[in-house]
Amino acid sequence: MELSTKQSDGTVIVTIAQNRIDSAAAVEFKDAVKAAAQDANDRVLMDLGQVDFIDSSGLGAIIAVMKTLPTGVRLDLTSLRPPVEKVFKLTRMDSVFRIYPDMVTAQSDMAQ
Amino acid sequence: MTGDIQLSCLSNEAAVRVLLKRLMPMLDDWGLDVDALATAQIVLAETLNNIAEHAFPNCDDAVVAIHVRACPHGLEVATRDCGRPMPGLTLPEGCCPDPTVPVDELAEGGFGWFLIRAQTEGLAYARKNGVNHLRYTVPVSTDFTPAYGANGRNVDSCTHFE
Repeated sequence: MELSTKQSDGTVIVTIAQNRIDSAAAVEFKDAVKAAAQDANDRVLMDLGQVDFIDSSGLGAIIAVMKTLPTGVRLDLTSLRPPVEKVFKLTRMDSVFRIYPDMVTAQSDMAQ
Repeated sequence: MTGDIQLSCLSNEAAVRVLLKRLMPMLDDWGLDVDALATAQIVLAETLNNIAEHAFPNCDDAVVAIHVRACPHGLEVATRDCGRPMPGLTLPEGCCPDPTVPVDELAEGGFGWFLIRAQTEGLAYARKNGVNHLRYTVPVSTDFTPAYGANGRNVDSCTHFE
């Protein structure tokens, strides 16, 4: 599982550096992001800009990560590519997460 | 170039990924647009991973066969495997988990059959002689021209392939 993390104030930015979050990757993805998110005080921002495929297991893993975050820490998503956005829309999970079109917009919304 | 692909993979998630990485460029060559390719990949992934996980829960090296054919109304897909039958010999309903429940009650699974049903037509399952047969059509945009159409093959045969 390839990802990088960057901390800024209470936010941990997690950049997923692989192009698939699929069934074969889901468990490792979940564990890696959970570990990376531990230092967040109020927000985890997951950059999915390099991900061009997600399946139901990958979607489930993102939901699982959100559910393990402490109260008061939220998981936001940014830079979804069309195939990934489609899965979120079809399953209506786009109503569960704050989803930003790009990193600049996501970061300018930090204060909220 | 033909509009007919038959591939197989072993019954595990890593092998399914390898098969998709091989198959998707072939579908790209058929001239499917980006949206159709995305739809096809998610549906193919869900069906193949379902087989690997549920038809072969304790076996990672059984064979799963897939047949994809380009037709004017979309991609016709058929899969075959010798694993466990579908419970009750019927396909799961595939209702989408409710996104409006409190966060700690959100479902982490159950999206697979919903994603298949939402993006396919003519979904059918049969168990014959110990073999699971699943078939469906992935509708693609009408400006998609099957590559084999130019070769003069009979498009009427599309609905009858196994």
